[in-house]
Order: sequence, then C-alpha cells, then structure tokens
Amino acid sequence: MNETVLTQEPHADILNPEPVVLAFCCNWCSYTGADLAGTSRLQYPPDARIIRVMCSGMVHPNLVIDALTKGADGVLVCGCHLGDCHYQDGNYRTEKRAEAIKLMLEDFGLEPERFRLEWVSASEGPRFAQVMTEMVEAVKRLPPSSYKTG
Amino acid sequence: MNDNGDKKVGAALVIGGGIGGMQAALDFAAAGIKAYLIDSAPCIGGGMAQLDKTFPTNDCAMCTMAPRLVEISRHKDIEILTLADLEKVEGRAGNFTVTLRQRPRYVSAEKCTGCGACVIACPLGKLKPPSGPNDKRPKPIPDEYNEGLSCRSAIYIPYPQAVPNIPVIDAAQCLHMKTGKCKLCQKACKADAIVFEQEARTVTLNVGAIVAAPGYKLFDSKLKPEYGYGTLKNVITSLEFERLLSASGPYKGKVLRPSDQAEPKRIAFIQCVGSRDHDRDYCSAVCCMYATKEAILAKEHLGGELSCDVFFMDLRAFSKGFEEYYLRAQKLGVRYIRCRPAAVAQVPGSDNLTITYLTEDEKKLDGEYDLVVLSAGLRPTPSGPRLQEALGLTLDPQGFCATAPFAPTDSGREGVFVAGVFTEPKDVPETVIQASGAVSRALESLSAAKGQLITTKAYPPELDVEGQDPRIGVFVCHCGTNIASVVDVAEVVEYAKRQPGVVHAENVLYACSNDNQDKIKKAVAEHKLNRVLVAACTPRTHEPLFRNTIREAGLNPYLFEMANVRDQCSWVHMHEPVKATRKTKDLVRMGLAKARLIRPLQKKRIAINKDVLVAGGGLAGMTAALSLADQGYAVHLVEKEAEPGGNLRRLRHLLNVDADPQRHLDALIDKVKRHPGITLHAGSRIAEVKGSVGNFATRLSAEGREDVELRHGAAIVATGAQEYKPVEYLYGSSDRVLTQLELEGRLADDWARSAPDTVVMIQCVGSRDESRPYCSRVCCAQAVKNALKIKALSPRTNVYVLFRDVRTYGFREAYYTDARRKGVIFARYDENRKPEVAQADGKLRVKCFEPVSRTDIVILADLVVLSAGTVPAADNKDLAQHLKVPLDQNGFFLEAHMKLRPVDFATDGVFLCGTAHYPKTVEETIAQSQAAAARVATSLAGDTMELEANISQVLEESCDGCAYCVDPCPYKAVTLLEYMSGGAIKKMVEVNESLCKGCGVCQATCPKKGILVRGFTLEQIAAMAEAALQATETPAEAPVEAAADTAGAAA
Amino acid sequence: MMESIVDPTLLAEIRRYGHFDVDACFNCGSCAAVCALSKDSALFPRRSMRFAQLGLREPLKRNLDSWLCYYCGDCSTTCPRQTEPGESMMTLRRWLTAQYDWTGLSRRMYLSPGWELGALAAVGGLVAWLISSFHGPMVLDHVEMNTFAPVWTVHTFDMILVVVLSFFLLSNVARMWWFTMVQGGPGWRPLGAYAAELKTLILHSATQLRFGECGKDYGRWIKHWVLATGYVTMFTLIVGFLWWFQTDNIYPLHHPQRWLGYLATAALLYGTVEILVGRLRKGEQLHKFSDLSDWLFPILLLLTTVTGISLHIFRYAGWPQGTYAMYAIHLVVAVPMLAVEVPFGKWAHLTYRPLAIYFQAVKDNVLRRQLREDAAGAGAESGSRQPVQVG
Repeated sequence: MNETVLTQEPHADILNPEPVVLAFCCNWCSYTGADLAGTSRLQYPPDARIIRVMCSGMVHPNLVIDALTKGADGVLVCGCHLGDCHYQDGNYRTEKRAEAIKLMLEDFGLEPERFRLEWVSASEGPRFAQVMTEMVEAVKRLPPSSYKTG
Repeated sequence: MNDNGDKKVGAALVIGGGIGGMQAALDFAAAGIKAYLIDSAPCIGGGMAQLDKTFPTNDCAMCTMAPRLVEISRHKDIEILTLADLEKVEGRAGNFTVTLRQRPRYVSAEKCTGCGACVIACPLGKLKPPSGPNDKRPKPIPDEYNEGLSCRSAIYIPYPQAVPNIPVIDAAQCLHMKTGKCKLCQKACKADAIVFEQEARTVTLNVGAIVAAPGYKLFDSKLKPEYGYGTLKNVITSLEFERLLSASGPYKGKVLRPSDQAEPKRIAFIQCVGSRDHDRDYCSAVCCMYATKEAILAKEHLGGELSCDVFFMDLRAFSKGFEEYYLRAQKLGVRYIRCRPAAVAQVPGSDNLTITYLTEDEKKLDGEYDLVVLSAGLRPTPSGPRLQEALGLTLDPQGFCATAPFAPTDSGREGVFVAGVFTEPKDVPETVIQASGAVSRALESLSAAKGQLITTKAYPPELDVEGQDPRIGVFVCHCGTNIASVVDVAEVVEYAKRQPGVVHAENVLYACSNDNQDKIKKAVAEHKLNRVLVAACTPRTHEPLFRNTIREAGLNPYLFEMANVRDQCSWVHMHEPVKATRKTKDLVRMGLAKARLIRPLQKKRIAINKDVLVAGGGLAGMTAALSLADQGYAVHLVEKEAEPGGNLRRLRHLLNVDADPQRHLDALIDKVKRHPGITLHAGSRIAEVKGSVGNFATRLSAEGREDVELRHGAAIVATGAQEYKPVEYLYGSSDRVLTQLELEGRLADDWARSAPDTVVMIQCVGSRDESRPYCSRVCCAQAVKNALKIKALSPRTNVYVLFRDVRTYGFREAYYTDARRKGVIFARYDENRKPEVAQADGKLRVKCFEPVSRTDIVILADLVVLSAGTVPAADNKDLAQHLKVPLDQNGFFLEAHMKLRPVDFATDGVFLCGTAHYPKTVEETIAQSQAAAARVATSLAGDTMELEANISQVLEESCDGCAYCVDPCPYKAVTLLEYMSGGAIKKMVEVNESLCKGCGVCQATCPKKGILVRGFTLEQIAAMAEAALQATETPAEAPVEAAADTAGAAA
Repeated sequence: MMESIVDPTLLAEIRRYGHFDVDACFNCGSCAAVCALSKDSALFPRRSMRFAQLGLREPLKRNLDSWLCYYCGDCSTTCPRQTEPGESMMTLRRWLTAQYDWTGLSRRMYLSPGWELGALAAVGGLVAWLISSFHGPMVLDHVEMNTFAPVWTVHTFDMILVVVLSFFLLSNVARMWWFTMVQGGPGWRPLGAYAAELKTLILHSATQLRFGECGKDYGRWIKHWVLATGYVTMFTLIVGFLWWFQTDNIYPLHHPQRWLGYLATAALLYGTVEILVGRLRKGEQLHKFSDLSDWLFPILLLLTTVTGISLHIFRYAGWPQGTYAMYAIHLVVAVPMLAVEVPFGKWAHLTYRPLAIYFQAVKDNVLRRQLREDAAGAGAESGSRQPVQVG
C-alpha cells in the first residue's frame, strides 16, 4: 500500500537518535486520527510534536521552511484524503504547495526526506501511528539538521 | 392558535440517535426548539457509526459524522437521553406528555470524565477466545460495534467517538453483577463514577412535536441457510465486512478472513440477501451501492490482484453519482455477475467456498472464493410495534411505518413525524433529507413556540484585557491516572511555572470535573489571569467546556488554549515516561507560545432579513414556500412561466394509484395563491443576486414589466429539470413513438376505446450513455406505473418493457412484481446492443437481443414508448452563477456534501430541493422541499445572526491587492477592491465575513502576510513551531526524570 | 442469432396445461444454478421459462430441456419468488406432448377431463363389447382360461394393439425429432454422433440414471426404477410372451413364470401405492400440484394390478365365474390405459424422456466435435482466476 519500506536492522544507520519532528495536522481528519491513535493506545515514537491547524491548506510554505531552517529535523503535513476536505478542496491546495515546498528544500540544501505530506482520515488511528513512526525513523537515519543551533 | 387554551410547547422529542435523528435534533435546536434526542442504545450514532466509508464519494463516515456528534454533545439546546425507550405518549399535537423508561448505565454521567480507566481495568476485557471445545474458561464478550469480530469488556464505551463518551456496564456480563465480587472498575475510577446501585428510572417530558427516526435492523442472514452464514466461517455479512475495512475495526483496517486471518484473494458479494424475495417484496435500496463501495475499498486495501465478484439481479445505481460509481468499480476490475446464486458451499478440505452461478451468456460456472460477503437487506426496526402503540402510527405489513405519497414525513397522527429507514429503506442523504423535512412539518405548527425553551445563558461582563501583558494560568490534568501514570505531572507544573507569562500553575485530578471548573474560575479572579492553558485531553471535545468556564469567569472565551497531552502524548507513549514528560513540557511550551499571542475575539452579529426567495414554482418550490410561509416567513416565489405547476402538471397518476397528482397540484396552487405570506412572481426570472446569507438582494426581470428588487435572507433553488427530448427510436418521425410523459397524457378514461394491441416501452433513453452517464432514477418506476395503468384500462393490451436494469428501488419493487403478475413482459437489452425500431406494415417492428433466451426477439408494436431521461434545466448555469453555487458535471446543482448536507449549498443561506438537485419522485421532492424549508428556518431563526469568530481578516497595511488569495477561496468569500485613496488607486482584498469559514487557504497563499485567520494566525502557528524547536531545559532535570520513571512504574 | 417474433398468446396457452406461474419470475437464475442436472447446453428451468414468458413458441417447441428435468423440486424451494419452476417444467412436458402429437388427441385430453375420461371409457367399452361378443365357451366346473379367452386370439389382439400404439407413438417421436433435432439442432447428421450416443439411449432407458442424479435423491430413483422395471417386465410378459404367461397350467413357485410375475406385480403395487400416497399427502415439492393426468396414470395402473392379482387368486382358487369376470374387467382397465395413456398421455414420457436424453447427448456430441475443430487454432486462455466450468 505504501512505497515506504522500513528497514529492519535497528541502530545500524541511526545518526540522529533524538530528532524533533513537527506535524501540522488538520482539525477534521488528521488531528482526529491522532486522537484516535491515542484512544486506541497505539504507540509511536515520542519525537513528534503536533500542531493543530483548521485545514492543511492553512499551512503556509514558509512555516515548513522556517521550521526546517530553524532546526526541525522533519516536518509532516497531514490532511484529509483528497475529496474529504472539510472545506471543499483545501487539501488540493496543500498538495500543490507540497510540490513547491519540495523544490524549495533543494534550494536550502535540505534532504527531501525531511518533509512529507500525508493524508490521514479521522478513523485511521493506526495509519497515523504508522506515518509518525515512519517519519521519525526516516529522519533518524539522517544526520542532525545542519540548521540546528547548539 | 390557542384554541381551548392549548399551549404549544417549544420542545420536540426525537426518537433515534442515528444520522436522521441527529439531523432532526440539530435542526430543531437551530430553529429555536429544544430537542430531546432519545436512543435505546448506550450512545447515539446509529448505523452510520459502524460504516467505514460512504458511497459514492468514499468519504470516511466517521470524519463526516464526528463533528456532528461533538456538536450535538455540546449543544445547549439538545438533551440526549440514552438507554431510553418510549413508553407512552399522551396529549395532542403541540402539547404531548411523553413518558420514557431509562435503563441504568451504572456509571454516573455527572462524575464520569470518559477517561476509560475502568474499561482497561475490567478483567472480562482480557479474556482470550476459547482454545477448543473443551475450554471451560469464560468466553470473551463479542463487541457489537465490530459485529462480534472483536471482544469488549463488561464495562465499555461502544466506540471511540461515542456520544456521550461515558462507559456503560453490561449487567448481563459484569462479574460484580453476577457474583458480587470484582469491582475492579470501581477501584480504577478516580472520579468515583461507578454506581452499581443505579436503577431504571421513568422520565416525563413535555414536547410540542415528535419525530420518530428509529432506524432499521439488518436482515438476519441466518434466515437464508443456503448461504451458510453462521455455519461456514468465511461467509460474513456486509456490515462485518465494513468493520473489516475500517481502520477502527477488528484487524485495524486489515482485511483478513475469519477462518485463518489470511488475506482473501477472491471475494464474492451476494446481493439481495433478505430483499426482493417472496416474503420481502421490496428492495433495500442501499445494498447495490454499499457492495460496490466495499468491493472498491477491498481492492484499495488488498491491491489489484484481489478479485471481487458481485452477484446481482438488477444493479440499482439510481441516485446522484451512483451510476458513475458503478462504472468506476467496473473499471477497477470489480466483476458484476447477473445471477442470484442458489447456495454457497464449502470446498471440501478447505475453508474456501464455492458458488455455482449462471453467466448472462448462459454458461453455468463454479466460482471458488476465499470470502463471501452477504449483502444483507434492511428490515424494519424491532421497536416498530412499540412505537405504533405509543405514537398511534400505522405500520405496513412488513413493519415499516406507512406514509402517504403527498406527505412523506407525516406519520398519520398529528404532531408526530417520521424519517429515515423507518418509512422505507433508504440511504444516508435520503434519511437526512427526510429528517429535516419532518422538522419543517413540526415547525409549521410550533412556530409560535420557537425560542420558548431555548436557554440563554447570562454571563458576567467581559473583562477588558486588551493591551495587558500575558498573565497565564496553567492547569495540568492527571486525568485520573491516564496522564499521571506516564507523565510526571508535578514536574510539568513546575516547568510551566518557570515559563514567561505564567503567573499560576497547578495540577488537577480531572480538569473537566465540575469542582475544577470552579477552581479555574477562582484562579482567574485571584491571579488576575488573562489567558488560561489546560494541558489535558483533546481540544476537539473539551475546548468548548473550558471556553465556557473562562467566559463565566469574565474572560473572553477565545483567551483559552489547550495542550493535548493525553490523546497525543501519555496514551501513545505509555512505555516511555521520561520522554513523554519531556514531550508534555514541549507541548505546554508550544501552547504557551500561542497563548501569549491570542487575543479576545468577538463573534460578530449581523442583522438579517427574514424573507426567503424560492426560485421555481413547481412542486418543490411551492411545497417549500408553503412550509416556510406556514412557519411565518414571508416568501417570494419566483416562477419563470406564467402559471406555477411545473412538471407535475404532466403527471396523471402515481405508482400508488389511488392518489391523483392533479388534485394535489390544484390544491397546492390554490393554497400558494391564497397564502398571505407568499408573493408569487410569475413570469419572472432572476437577473442578478448580490449579498450573502442574511442579506441578499435579488433583481427579478419580467417580460414587459419593470425589474423588481427583492431583499431576502435566504434562497431556495427549486428550478426543476426537464424531460429529455429523444432523437433516437424514430421519435419525432413516427406519431406512434411517444415519451412516457406523453403516454401518461393519453392514459385517460377514453384510452380503452382505441387501446393498442401491443405497447413496447424502451428504458434508459437519454440516460446511462456517454453524453448523460447518470441514471434518471424515476423512469423504471414510471414505466411500471404506466404499464400497470395500461393493464388496468385495457387488460388485453400486451405490454413489453425493454430495460437494462429494473431500478424499482425501495417499495417500488412490489409494483414491479405486480406488473409482472398483470402480464407485463420485461426483457433485458444490453447497452451495446440497443433495440432497433423500424416501420413495418403499419406496425412498429422492435427488435432486441434478449440475453437469457439468446434470441433476437421481434415485437410488432402499435405504440413505442420511450422512457426519456431527466435532463437539467437549460438555465441552471445562469442561476448557478448568480447565486455563486456549483453545478455537477451533469449540470444538476451540487450540494454541499453528498451525504450529510444534501439540501445545503456550500454557500450559506442557499438551499436546494427537487429535480434541480437530481431526478426524483414526487415523495422525494416533497421531502426535500420540506427539508429545504427547515434548513432555511435554521439559518434564519433569530433576528440577528452570529458569525464565526475564527475567520479571515485582512491587514490593510500588509495587503497590496495582488489578489492571489481571491481564486483559491473555496467559499468565494474574498473579493478584490479598488478604490481611490490619497489620489492613487489603492487595491486591497475584502473578506465577506458571512461567507468565510476560516479554513485559512488565503492565509497560506498570501506572500505578504496580508490576510490571516483569527485564532490561527501565521504568527501564532509559527510561534508554536518555534517553541517546539527550543531545547527543553534544564541542567537540574536528570534526577527529576528518574523520579518520574518511578512514579510511572508505581502507577 | 435466431430471430423470433413474440407470440403473446403462448403463455396463456401453456397455462391451460397446468400450473405455470412465471409472473413473479425476474430471471435471477437461481433455479438453474441450483439444479443438479442443468448445464450449459441445457440450462433449465430458466431458459424454458424465459421462452414461455416472452412468447417464443418455436424456440420452446425445439427445446428438450423440460424432458431432462426429473422434478426434484430444488428449483421451486430455492426460487426467491416462489414461482414453482419445477411444476412449470411438468406443465411444459404436457404442452410438448401435445405439440408432438399430430392427432391432436393429446391436446384434447390434457385440456379436457371429459375427453380424457371419455376416451378411456370408449376404449374400455369397446374392449367390453369385444369380450362379450367374441369370448369362447365358459367352462364352469373348473377354470379353463384358454377356452374362455384363447391365448392366440388375445395375442393377435395384443399385436394389433401394439402396432397401432407404435404407429401413433413413433409418428409422434418422429415429430419430436423433427422439431428438436432438425429445426432446433444439428439435423440428421452426423450419423456418427447418433451412433455414438446410442449407448446413452440404452443406458438411460434401462436405468433412468438421471433420476438418481436429480436432486441427489437416490431413494426416488430406486422407487421409480422398481416401478418402471416392474411395468416393463409385466408388459413384456403379457404382450410378448402371452402364450407362456396366460396358461391353464399351474407352475411350481420356483418357475420363472411364477416369480417373475410376482416380482413385477409387487413392484407395480408398491410403485403405484407409493405415488398415490405421496400425491395425497402433498409432502414433497413435486406433489404440491396434481393434474388429472397425474392421478389417472397411477390409478389405472393400480387398478390393472389389483384386477390382475384378483384374477390370479380366483384362478388358483378354482372359481371359474370369478376368474372370467375378473379377466374381462382386467382387460377393460388395462387396454384403455395402454391405448390412451401410452401414446397420448402421461405414459408417453416413457418414450420421450430417454429420447430427449439421447437427442441432447447427440447435440452435445456434435457441439464437442465443433469445439474440437474450433479449438485447433485458439490457445486456451486460462489462469488460476478462471472459474471452472461445470459438467
């Protein structure tokens, strides 16, 4: 279902054991899905911090780039599945912006793995946990962000 | 109105907490009537809560439904009574006394915080399934929500999003109830909410109207033993499969078959299980589409290798977007096999199943499957007889509530209205429509009592904190042990105290408990707090509560912020207390970063015009106008023709033959013309519409008259549709080729005198083809209706109906049966081999390949009747542009949400009904028109209207009028202004606050930070992000963390 | 593809032959899916029902399907609309019998009880008159059957009867062949197929094996086989070996004449009583409806059997008057039964059923030959996903 395959050997390639990952989650689907992961007691690494936004379409590309250039090891934007947007088509805007963000990563010398766009619905608690786990694992295999101060 | 001193009561009882009952309760409350929502289950939600996705959009059911659940649970004018059964109804319309019996929950709703600790404590929740037949240990309790595919404890919350989110004790299973021992849940509950002594109680309510939407029961597939449900492990019901698909289902969204938890590679769906048979001569109306949905979703879950075969008889994809959905499923490789299998058998020596079936080209095959899904039909609710007795309504022989065709939401007893599957099997949008329609009928007689029982809360005057430095109070919740067992709460409190702007911090056992609300209020006064942050559970459910609390303390409710440290921290990092504590600190720090920047917000109130414009003077428009006028609204009814009536004028009879549409129509027109509240603008067209909800200005133009400008607060689009004008089958070149409507005009008493020997009807003319891929929905029933009429007027006339699928959904199925019994011959044709009509010796020679007999049948007909489809009205485009509402790809108006908002537009204040929405029958049109009236009543309830506070705002100094944000706005709420300022042209955008919903797409588009969403500004979000990146202090932490670990271990 | 003009009168016509409720049928196919005997080349009952429903007279007449049905009733119990397809097949068999019969007598007798009973009475009367006019001297001090009814006279009469019956039956069979094999099938060629499938004809005539496959109810098959075998044995003894069977000698019990006769009689007695009891109880699906023809067949056979037994007892008891009288009654019952029911009535199935199996086998044989030729070029497209063909 997903192109991402987790490598099984632990620690072997972990360069950044305690990364900071920011997740912008839309109120109606992904944030609710994150809550459902909690209600279902699904465990995922505690390295991510969730920021609630009303719609994934609310996330300005600058927010992502600023976070990454101020030391975030990874940024995740989560929204409703395409077609499920509470605000008609906000997530289609998100999708377009994600393209732009990916291009900007290069300009800033950031690895493409540091940014991800994922669709998580309100009933996809397990998927939310999995997405979080994957993102954190992916970021751990990168060296600490070069923008990290201190 | 007050005859005999009868007082109308401004409250309503809604029976059934499913999607229909929820809609009715919300509509009532919004329109100013207090609603009591009762359900016999421990929570509301009904059947839809169990669904994974909904057809035809594959929307996540819970995503669309959960906000509604939360809204209801928090609504001040909706009282939910669960575990409640209706006992008795006395009194009369306008003033009923209702007696309910409420069974005990054994959990105090006042004390319970919904933390769920009791559920985890219950030993019965840890039982393992028996290892074999000799395993004598107690069996686990099957979980009803997952259709028994998983297990639950004896004290349980039915599903994660349940409302109320309070556990219930299953007395039949509870160890304490049975043995007097255990009480583990009581020990686990720090809120002291478990009350084993609770008893059933009787509740008496005084209401003015009753809406019954008690729902349905799924057909018990064990009654069809030939399909092996209950004996063959891998034969499951469609609802069980739905749970398998669901991420919150038994295997967390993995589709595994029951016998060996293996992924199935071949799935068969068997349609019409418990529908369309001799004992149940009706169609359940939803199964064709839900099976299609389940097949599509299964393919999404299990990949392209999965084969899905759907065994069906007629594929009933009759509603909006359904036919396209069906075609999509076929493109995805779902195979549809037109055969009703006789049985399911087990493949010897394996758990696989085999089905013998016929293909349409008359081959007999055996298919082997890993999983067989039975598309179980909808049966009437078992509570029907009790409701019949208590409410005095009439049940039909099947057990559904009988309604009349021109009053689809009336129960027959005054003041009691009905909705949902209770009256006929139907899908979610039809249910929602009917529920709103029922509310409208109730409001017609309760308009005088509106607002009577609505609570208005008195708050102290708001403290002015503008310009003050932040003085933040922080409350960190233990949530019993839910948070405190993982997170070192005391340490977090200490940490919070050290943060800038924080003047008070404390830990609390339950932040949401009543005593703590007082604590917060006291702290606000004592420490002169001007911001409050609560670190507890999720703001989605609890933010409204705390906002209310601080408002009671005199603070603006938007000066509140919440850190989600339970659902998104302690619960998901249960085994990492140190890291969880650190994350909690981070979350508090992030919340504080935002809290420092938040500002008081006011919900703007605007004065509204309460007049309503209804566009279209057909059945839909007139019904809506009358309902609104009866509710006391002044209505402008705009009809482009010289006389109202619309397409109904052409209907001579209905499928329920004893009702005469013309008599109803004449009475309707008469009422409309006499009603003092309705102004009829005949021969007029809408030339221009300006403004937004509450304040529209519409210009009407009429031939030979001066334009009229109307002011109104809401508008209903009821402009109808028209019959397709065929170009095929010799239509127009032979006067013996008619459309169904033309035939209907001839089916009068003098028909028998010159009745033709043979009539051939051809279905799907102008529907379900490349140019019009949709199904016109009404033609099958219309053909059946006219065929029956022919047989009644001239029994010797031979009638042949050439069809592709007979889509007589719901109760129309019985008329299809009746038509066959009366000798009407139905023959299928394939879309790729359409019938041919030719002139031959004074007859019409109709040739058609009939697939079962594998024969080209030739019928020599005297009359050929084309079931011409319904096409959208030609001027829809203009009207859509005027009202700024969208059309779908077929040219019909597009509603806000296909499932839950079927009469609303995304644009507030504009509503939709009748065939302008999609082809539909008279009953469906009436129900939707009533629904539109109810929705208008909810948006025009008061004299003023409250706007959302968290909406966009333009910063004049930053906006340079580049207009990047104008186009992306999904609500067309942003417009570009150009004006002269200081001798230069100044450009700037403007937000229409009554259109804006606060999604923030504009904010994320703006390159200049010139537009922001209040409460979610770029600055606030950025501050949170930045705070997240700050290193958590401090050198002194190490020993404290160790302490946290022990604390976590101890708890 | 065949083109056929619909005949709106067909359905009403078929209905006159018995229960035929296709009104509620929506061609869902569960009847044919559940049927153990139906397969691709003969998918019944749905196809026959569809022909009748649509008024496709010629295709229906050319179709063998209803003869291949042995009425286990599975289709009727499965039918979601309770349209009783099993009984409809029974009705179609009557209709087809009438179509095959060029004399029109079948049609008249099926449609009118008067005709059927009248025909039986007329033939019975004729037999009574023949006996009363032409019987030999009645020896009264002891039984002398062959004096009362000289065996060669009776045998000659038998032979005449057989020739007449065969003429009618075979001419009807020829018409059946013409409709189903020439108009509706491959014609008289290839003869190879006809020859190859002769084994099918013989096997099924002798064993009625299909009956056993039908509904997987072997009990029904055994009962039917016992009855049919008893009947054929008795018929052969009487018509073929009368001089041996009708004798004034009393053979010892171990003599084949004795035990063959007793066995066949027992079979007949058991079979007919069994049928009649079943029809009276209406317990099984196939006994839910009963046409006059369904009753007459076992009743006449039972009467024949009972009179035969009485005749036998009287003769062994040495009561001449009783014996002669019973002999006359026996013939008055048996002859009309044979003369009327065998070529024109229910008993025609004895001929049509094995022939239908034979003809269908020939059709399948021809089809297989064609497929083999066609398949020479085409590669077999198959995968694990491909459903398996039945039959």
